[in-house]
Amino acid sequence: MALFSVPTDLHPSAQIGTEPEGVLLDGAGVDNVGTNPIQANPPSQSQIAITNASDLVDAVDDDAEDKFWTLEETLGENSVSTVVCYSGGPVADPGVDTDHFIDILIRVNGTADTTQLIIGMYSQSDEVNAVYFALDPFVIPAAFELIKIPLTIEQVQDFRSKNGYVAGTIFFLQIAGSVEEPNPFLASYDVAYISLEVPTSSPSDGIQASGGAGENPDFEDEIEGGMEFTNGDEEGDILLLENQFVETSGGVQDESQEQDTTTFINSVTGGIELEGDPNIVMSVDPSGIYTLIPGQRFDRLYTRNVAPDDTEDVAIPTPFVKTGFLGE
Amino acid sequence: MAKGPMKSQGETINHFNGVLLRVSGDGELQINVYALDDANADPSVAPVETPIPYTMTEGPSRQPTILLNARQQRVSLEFKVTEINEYFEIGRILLFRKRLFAGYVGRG
Repeated sequence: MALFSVPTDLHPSAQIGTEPEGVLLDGAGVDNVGTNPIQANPPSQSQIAITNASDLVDAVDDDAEDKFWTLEETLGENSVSTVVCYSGGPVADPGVDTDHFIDILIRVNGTADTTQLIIGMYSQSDEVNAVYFALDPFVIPAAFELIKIPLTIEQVQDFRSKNGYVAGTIFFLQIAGSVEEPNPFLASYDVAYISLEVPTSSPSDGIQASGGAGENPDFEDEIEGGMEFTNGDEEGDILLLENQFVETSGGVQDESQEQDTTTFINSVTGGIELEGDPNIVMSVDPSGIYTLIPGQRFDRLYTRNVAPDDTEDVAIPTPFVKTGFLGE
Repeated sequence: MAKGPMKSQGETINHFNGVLLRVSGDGELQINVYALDDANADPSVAPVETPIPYTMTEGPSRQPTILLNARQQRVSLEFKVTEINEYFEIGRILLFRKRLFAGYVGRG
C-alpha cells in the first residue's frame, strides 16, 4: 500500500518569499550554503541518499548542510521574520477528506524561545491560506524528526475547493516574533523535507486478518474474494470466533460447554458445508405448552433463548370457588 | 309438594351470622360475602372485596365456624387463595342464618 501518492518530492524551483519584510536573499535570511539560496533548493526525498541509512531521518541527520534548508532569523526594526516558500506538484484527488497530513522533517538548532515557527499551505491557483499552523518551537527536537501535522476535514475540503490538487501546493515556513520579547530568538531550523501526504483512493491490497485463532492451533481457513484468515505465529492481532470453532463432526461447538456437541445447535443452511452428520436436536424450550402435573399448585414459565433449565414458578392466578345465592 | 304460584321464594330477610366449613389446605383462605347482584353484604361493617381471612391447615380435624354479619335476603360466599402454592379443599359448607323479616314492603 502506497503511503504517498504525490508529491513525494518538492518542486525544484523553491523560491524565497517576498513578504513580509525582513526576508533577505542571502546568509542572514534563508541560508543554506551562504551564497545563492535559489540554488540551494531543499532536497527532495528522492535526492537524499538513503543507501546507507535505514530511513529518511537517518539519511539527513548527519549534518550534511546541503541536504536541508536552514531557516535563520532576520532582524527587523520591530520583529524577527523569515519566510521561505516552496511548491509541490499537482496531486490526484483521493476523494476522501481524512488522513491528510503535512509531513515535515525538521530539527532545531540552538535554544528555541517563544518565537513561533509558522507553517502554511495553500493552493497555487488561489494563494489564500488553506492551512495555517503555528508550531511550538519547544516541541521541535534537536535531531531530525518527521512531524506529521493532521489536516481537518474542513481544511481538506477548503483545499479542494481552491483547486489545490490540480494546481499544486505551496508551503511556506516563517519564523516570526518580536524583538521586544525578553528572550531573543537564538535558534534556527533545519528543514529537510516537507510534503503533503494524502491517502490512496483505492487500496490495492485486500483485507487481511492474521493472528492466533483462539486456542485451536489447527484452525486455518481461507475465503476467496479478498479476505484472508490465517493462523499466524503471533497471538493477539485479531481473535476470531472466541471460544467457538467449527468442528468437523458437525455443528458449532461452544468450548465452554465441555465438548457438549448437542448444545446450541439448530440448523445450518446454505454456503457452509460441514462434514459429518449434524445432530438433530429438538428445542429444549417448550414455552407455551401447558403441562398438567398432578398435585402441582403453581405455574412454571420457561424462558426463551437462555439456558434450558432457566424457569420461573409463578402463582396460579387466584383460584376460587363461589356459591350460588343462599337464602329462603 | 308443588309450590303455589303466590308463594314467593327468596324474599325473606335473614341475618347470616356464620358459616361452618370443612376445609383443608395450606395458606390463608380469603372469604367474601356478597349480596344479590354482588353488592356489599354488610355496608356498615366492611366494604365489598374486603375478605375475611382464615388460616388453613392440612388435616385440621375440626370444622371451624367463621363468623359473618350480613343482613340480606340472599348471600353468595366466595372462597379463594392468592399466593403461590396455596390451596384449599372444601368438603362442606353450612351457612347459619336467622330469619328477621318476611320481606320488603311494597316495591321494596
